[in-house]
Amino acid sequence: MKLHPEISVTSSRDDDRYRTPSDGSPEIGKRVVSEDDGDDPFEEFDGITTEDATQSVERVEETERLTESLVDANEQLEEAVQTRDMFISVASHELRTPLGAMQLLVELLRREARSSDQGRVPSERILKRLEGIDRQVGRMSKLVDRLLDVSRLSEGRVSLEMGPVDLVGIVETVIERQRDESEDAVISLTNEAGGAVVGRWDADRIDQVVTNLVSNAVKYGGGSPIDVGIADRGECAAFWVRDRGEGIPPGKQERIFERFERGEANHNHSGGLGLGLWIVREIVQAFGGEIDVDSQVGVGSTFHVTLPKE
Amino acid sequence: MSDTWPGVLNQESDLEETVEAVTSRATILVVEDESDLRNTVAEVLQLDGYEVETAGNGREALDILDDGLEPTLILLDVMMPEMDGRAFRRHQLDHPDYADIPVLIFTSSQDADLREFNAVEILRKPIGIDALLDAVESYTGSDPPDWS
Repeated sequence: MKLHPEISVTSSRDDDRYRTPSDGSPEIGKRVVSEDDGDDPFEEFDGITTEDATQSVERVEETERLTESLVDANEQLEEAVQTRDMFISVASHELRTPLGAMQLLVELLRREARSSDQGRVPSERILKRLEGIDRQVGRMSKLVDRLLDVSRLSEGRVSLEMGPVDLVGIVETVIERQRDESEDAVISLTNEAGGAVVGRWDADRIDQVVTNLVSNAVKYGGGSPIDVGIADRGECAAFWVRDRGEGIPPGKQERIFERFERGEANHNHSGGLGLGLWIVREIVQAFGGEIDVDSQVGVGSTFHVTLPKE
Repeated sequence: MSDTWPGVLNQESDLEETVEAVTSRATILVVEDESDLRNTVAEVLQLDGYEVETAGNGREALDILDDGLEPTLILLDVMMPEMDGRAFRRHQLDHPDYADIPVLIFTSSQDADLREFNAVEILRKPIGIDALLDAVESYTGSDPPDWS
């Protein structure tokens, strides 16, 4: 039994399956001849069917492999998508408020400009609007920076520029800056070490940790004084930030370090992404350090950080 | 709705009519914790002729109502410190004198739904001036002053 040349063409070239040699296509005619010119018809017959069978099996196996890897890839994607969705929803939520203020300010300016009979809108009013817009831009930039930071930290892409750093100097700078930002804040510093506390860290990241903790204390401290302390514990440096705010209930104390904690569950505090303490802990851990919180409802909270010096 | 500000245009010639129209419009209580947004919303409403009172959270808003303000409409943010929009709404609905004041929810959340708040409408941030004024106008029943 010999297969019709058309069949052999069909099996080896799917795209030619509806053509026949008689359709005058020189390409097909040529190939049919080449597949047809073996001396032993059985060898060719066997060859064709074996090839067909092997191809089929290979195709099935390949399909299975592909399906498996697709399922795996899909699971990974779903996880990634969930994280991204969470991220996008928190981020867009937080960006809407400054965007809302900005849109109204821009429209106000436009209306006033249109209504203005050649410069009747007082320049102070224009400046006031522009300052408002400026503040919103600042807020949004900070949010975006923080989101990028989280993205990098999540993927372990943070490169630390380690060098000798004096913790005392950084804490003093942060406190000064915080006093400038919120004039009412009363922040006192106790340096138990008496002098510099030097370790090998990334100065910017240490600044970020201290800034986050101090500004949190100001935000949640209810206007009461804030104590910042530094100590030298030999191989480790330690510092702490204490507020006298409303405190954190025991069941919530561990959760406050989790990502999106604020944005997700806490409706009682405004602003922020609920990422600050998560970022702080990620950075502290990147230095091999630890952070924990002592807190009592109605008394206040103290955040302790220890950092290995090397 | 005009997209120019009558308060700026023809300030001198229409001053008397403007004042008369302005004082005839409704009173809105704006409850929003973000001061820039709160102040801007308040200013937009004031420029359109409304009387505006502002509160930084639900607690402050209740205090203002307790002090005797009778707003025609409350514009209410949801996520706020001290007392959020949900808690404010519960207190408001529990109080016979305040329960009937219509509430426009003003939120950045995509999930807030009308039934949950028993509100007249949900406005989502960011919002433009026209949409804000249209919504406020439709629940205060007051026509904008005739600036022409």
